[in-house]
Amino acid sequence: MKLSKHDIGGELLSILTKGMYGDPKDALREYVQNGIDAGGNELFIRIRSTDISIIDNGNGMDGAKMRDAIRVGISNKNPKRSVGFMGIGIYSAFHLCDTLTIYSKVKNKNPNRLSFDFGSMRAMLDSQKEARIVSTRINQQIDLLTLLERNIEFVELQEEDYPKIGTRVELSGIENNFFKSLSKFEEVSEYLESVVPLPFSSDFSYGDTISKAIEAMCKKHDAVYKTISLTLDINGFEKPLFRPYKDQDFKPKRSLPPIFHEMKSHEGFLGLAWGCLNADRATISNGKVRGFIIKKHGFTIGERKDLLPYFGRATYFNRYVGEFIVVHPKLLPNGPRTDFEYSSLRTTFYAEVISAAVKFNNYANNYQETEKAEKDLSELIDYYNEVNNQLGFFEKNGDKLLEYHKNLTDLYDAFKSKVEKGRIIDKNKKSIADEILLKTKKLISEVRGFIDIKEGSKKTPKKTKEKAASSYVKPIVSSTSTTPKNLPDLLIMTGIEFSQEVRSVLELIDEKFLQGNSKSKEEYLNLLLELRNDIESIFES
Amino acid sequence: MIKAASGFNPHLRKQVVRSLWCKPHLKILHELVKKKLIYIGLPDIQALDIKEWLDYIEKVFAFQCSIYNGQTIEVKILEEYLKKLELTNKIKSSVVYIGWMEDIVLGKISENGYQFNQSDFFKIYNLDFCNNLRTPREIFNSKGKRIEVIHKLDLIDKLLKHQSEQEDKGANFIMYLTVNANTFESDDNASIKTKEIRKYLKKIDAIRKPEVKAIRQIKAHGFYHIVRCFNDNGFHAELLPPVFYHGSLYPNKEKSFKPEHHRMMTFTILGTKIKKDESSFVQDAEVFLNQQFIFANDTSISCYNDAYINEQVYNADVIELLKNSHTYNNLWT
Repeated sequence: MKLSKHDIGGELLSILTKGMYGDPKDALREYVQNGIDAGGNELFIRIRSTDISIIDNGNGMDGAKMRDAIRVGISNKNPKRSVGFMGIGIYSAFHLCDTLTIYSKVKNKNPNRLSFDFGSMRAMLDSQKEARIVSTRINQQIDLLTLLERNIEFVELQEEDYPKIGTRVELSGIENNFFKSLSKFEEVSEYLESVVPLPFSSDFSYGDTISKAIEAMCKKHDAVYKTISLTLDINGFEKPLFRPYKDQDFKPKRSLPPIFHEMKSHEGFLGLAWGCLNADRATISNGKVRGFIIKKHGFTIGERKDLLPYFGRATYFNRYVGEFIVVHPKLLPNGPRTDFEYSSLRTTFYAEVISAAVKFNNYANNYQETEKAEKDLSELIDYYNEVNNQLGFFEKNGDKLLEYHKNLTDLYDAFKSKVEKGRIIDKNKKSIADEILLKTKKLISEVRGFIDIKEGSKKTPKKTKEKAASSYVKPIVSSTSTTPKNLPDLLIMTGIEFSQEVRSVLELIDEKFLQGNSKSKEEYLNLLLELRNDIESIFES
Repeated sequence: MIKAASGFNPHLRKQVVRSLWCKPHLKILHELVKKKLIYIGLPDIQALDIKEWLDYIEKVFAFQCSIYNGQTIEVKILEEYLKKLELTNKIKSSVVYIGWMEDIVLGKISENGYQFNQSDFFKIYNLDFCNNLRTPREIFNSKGKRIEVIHKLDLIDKLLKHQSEQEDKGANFIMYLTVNANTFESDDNASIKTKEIRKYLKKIDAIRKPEVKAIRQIKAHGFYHIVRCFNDNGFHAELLPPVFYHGSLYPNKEKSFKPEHHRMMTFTILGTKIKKDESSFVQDAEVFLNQQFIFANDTSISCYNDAYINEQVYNADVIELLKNSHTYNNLWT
């Protein structure tokens, strides 16, 4: 069937660009992408009330390349190296500005200028629509080719008109509402930081480690991975932009070291995922970086929440900050950059996302269990110290002995099981754990011995003078209400009664001689215990 | 010819100041910091200062009124010129704030929708005022009620406050401050706390010719207030001898509207950020006040003195004056 130019209407351009670039900031991303595809590694975005410029230091376009850039839906770009390949990005500002002007220069050639009068194109299409509303007669509608021919101008420039190698894209006649949105530095920088392939900020301690790991793995698989330097200048306020991750997003101070997952398929290396887990068992407070995101050639595909279903549980997902870096040339993003185009490779990729998610979840789970086990170790040490220090006081108190026995046994059993499951990873802590388990076991038998005596089945066991666990594990001193607080308290516990005056004197002696001669609270308590034993010996004799 | 926004037509003496006085300084500063400089100022729509100093400028922050004395100013000329400089790779970027510099720097949105939000350490300030440092400007709210009266000094104070918040390794800059020196409008001698300056003001009080006295009063008051403003915002200040020149013609009301040249004075301040635990540099006021002015005629600059005033003569070598300064020798190099 023979077709003519009238079979493709000019309206197609408006429909396509409106559908693909819903956010005016998307146009910035598209032109940045073109700059990178042209070999640029230093880009500058300058936003003013009347115009926006995106300037790159790439290889530039000569006349022939500029002519090719006009084409709609045709691209010479290699998807292995370029993110743009649809041949539509140049029109991404169709609804954003009145004029798009591109200045470009390649080495050893004169520069050129290409201008698109989008304002006029839109006016032509609008008047056509108006005519259709008021008249029932169907007029000949403007075809795409004519629309472009009438509104695109190509001019050869002199060297001095644009002497710098590279390309400058200028959007002028920005619609006021768009300018309002594009003049907010924080909003625009946040957008660009999350969609453009930027380096890590020095505010993120593991940025360098992650970059090196990505580069090494991509190099190993002969894959392309690069970041660019991008500076944003809005109305004179200028800052270089970086990936949005910062140590302050994590608690207490920074994340745990990153973990990596290599993604492979039957068609080769897909890319790799990295994730940094919060050191605290808590959600990452900054919702904008929480979770994982997909990056293709550094450009964002979809949103972070899109990957949550592959992780199953939001708990661990939300404690991570991470990226899935995709480099496979056949995994192509769809038009609106919300996902990859459907293909068998896409299916494989998502299977790999699930594998990575399992790895990240397991790591988070193990870390959480380890952290919990370490907390339990600390609790066991505390309780061991308390019982070990006070057992002498309560060896005749049946209720107390039973309480000690039960609590110690419960803590011992629970903690032993965790140690056996390998939850204590740190070598030093493991050795402390083994030792405290041994000592706790002994203490349990000792308490049991006292209970048996109380029940009349055994002779008095000799109280083992156990070295306080606190001397080789973290020094924790029990502060429960059953501990004698001071000398008068101790005497009351041993059954000695005295008047308020004597109490005051005893408090003075306690303060001056007992506390005054103790280097720590622990030593003070031990002194009290010794004193109590001595007093009891006097009574027994 | 399009009338300049400052109200003065461009003239030779001003150009002499730009090229023979300021430009050599900027060349030295440029060589010292090893990069092009960031400019902020009131370049006028003809941007003659920017044109003159282009070799040393990387970025331009320009302020321009859209209406002056009831006359519409073609700001577009300035915008297009700066844009052309960007395209031709002469400068990296520029921004034109449309409106009164005082209003915008003190927080008002410019007519073209920009808020002054500094992220750079400015290296060249060219504040070409058409009036005095103490000339008041009234700020009105949207209902026409006067909410504030501000002076040029308040503007400088705010600019330096912004500047003090910026990071810069070298942290040095030059400020050119040009004021009208036809008459000295303030007689607020009581505000001067420095003994040497009070003594000087007393000494010059005997001068009978008002215009001869006025430039010296402006010099003394300017020195006092500028230094204080710099120090208050964490900057050392050292003033090079002020440049005195005759500007454009105007009808002098006091002399039966006889046409006369405006008398203009340009202060040159070498600014440096005061480091932690460092005291601010104290320039010898007596030396500064008792030396002759720099005078710009149509072709050159030289030392200037009114015939009957006894003032210190020195070599009016621009480079030497800068390179012999305390700032250059002790703070910049």
